[in-house]
Amino acid sequence: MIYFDCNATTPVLPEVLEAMLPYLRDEFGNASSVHQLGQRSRKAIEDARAQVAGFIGAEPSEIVFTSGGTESNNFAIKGALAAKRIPGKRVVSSAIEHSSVRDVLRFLSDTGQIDNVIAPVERNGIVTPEAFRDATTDDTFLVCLMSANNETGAIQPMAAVAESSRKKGALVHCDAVQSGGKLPIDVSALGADTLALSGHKFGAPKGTGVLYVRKGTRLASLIHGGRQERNRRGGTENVAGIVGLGRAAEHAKQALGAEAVRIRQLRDLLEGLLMKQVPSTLINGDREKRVGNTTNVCFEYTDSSAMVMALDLKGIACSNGSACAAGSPDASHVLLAMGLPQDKAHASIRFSLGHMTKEEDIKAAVPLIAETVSRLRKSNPLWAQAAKQ
Amino acid sequence: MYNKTVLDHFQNPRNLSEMKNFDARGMGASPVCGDVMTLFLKFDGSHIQDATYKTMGCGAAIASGSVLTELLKGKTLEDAQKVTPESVLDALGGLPKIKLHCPDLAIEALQSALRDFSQKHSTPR
Repeated sequence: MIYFDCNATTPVLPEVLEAMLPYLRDEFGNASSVHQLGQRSRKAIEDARAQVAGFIGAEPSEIVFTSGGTESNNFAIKGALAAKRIPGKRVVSSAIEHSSVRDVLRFLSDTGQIDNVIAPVERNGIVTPEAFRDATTDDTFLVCLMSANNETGAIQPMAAVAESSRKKGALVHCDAVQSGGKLPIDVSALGADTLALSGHKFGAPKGTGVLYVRKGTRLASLIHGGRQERNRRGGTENVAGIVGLGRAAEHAKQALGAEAVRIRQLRDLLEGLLMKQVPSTLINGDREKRVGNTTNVCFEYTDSSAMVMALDLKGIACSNGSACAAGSPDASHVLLAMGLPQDKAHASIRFSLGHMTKEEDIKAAVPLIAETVSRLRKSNPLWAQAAKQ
Repeated sequence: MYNKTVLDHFQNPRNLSEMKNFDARGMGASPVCGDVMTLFLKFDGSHIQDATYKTMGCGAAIASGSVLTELLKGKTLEDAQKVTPESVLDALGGLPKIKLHCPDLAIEALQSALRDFSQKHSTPR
């Protein structure tokens, strides 16, 4: 199988698995226990905390381990709401947020707890700091923006948005799930008060995540029930998962150099070959300001779900829209927000590359993709009409 | 997600082409997902001699059109009118829940084609 779906998930790195195994075997201690077995688990967790802190330029005390990106986003938003001091209930977010932010805001909005104002996105898939600045009022207690979009890879002007939002007294939450392992993350430079990461997007196992909480940030807990994570998240720690996450963060930090360049070159090769060999092909979103592993391609006059299915049967794994929205007949909210018409949004698929991607994969995939596009177009009554014109 | 019958009709769709000398043509469009289907029918007296289709749609739409054309061949106009989305779904051996609207698209194209045929042949010859 050729796996081009690294924005959905990545395999656990061998060294991550190795680091985790002792904690799934003999080192089973509860990190809250006083005895030595427990204290060895405590040390393992604190070592991982230091690794993750080093990965994003934070203090270890600012790192809270969670069950993943979705919990981290829920935590940041609901925790900010529960702890806010101002009566204003406005939350400003972008039109292209992931469902783990969007659906939380929609729920809070539907239940009358917040007023959600959604800042538009430009045609290139990037929001403008001005749109956020204009939407952020004195009533705004929280501003949410993803650092990079999961579907197009478009990098958002996080630092500028954070700066103007903080000036107005709002907390700033950054969903950095799709930046982890793809872009250097420095919480001071980004200026966010809270920042979410998901372990399985960069070689740690599923069920692991992080919420960075800047020192002094007023944030209520999402999960009560124990004194773990400095009273911020109750529940016995997932020691093996946390150890894996720490090791993956260490690996990701190193891989941001030459490895990131290699992946970007492969992505560019894939795009170049597709543009050359498949007519009526468009790339969605900004070609420059985006993470290096992602491309969102519109093969006009094809149906993205038929494409994904046909490519799967040929041994290529890719996706249309977010994996979290898969199975919905609706076109991607991200592409529609960028102003793509329905038919083009329905004809777009995402290829996301990673460490396992080799040049041979690209060269093997392109003819299979071209063949599939051509087959689906032949069955499309609109393609024959378009081809005649 | 899909059963073997659906995958077969998706990978090797039957009668997927535009017909030149059709007696009736129908169109369907899904309000759910925006898919479209065109169906072509050729009659031999009172029987459907040949049926072909084209679709801009997902795998389930491609498979639905494929089994529909197979179901239609040899049927009389009256029998063709009795073909329902359930007939298509049964012939496919079922579809995932979120794809249950795809046979509707095929039947809409069929009904449109049958109307087209009736209109053409309603005037006394």
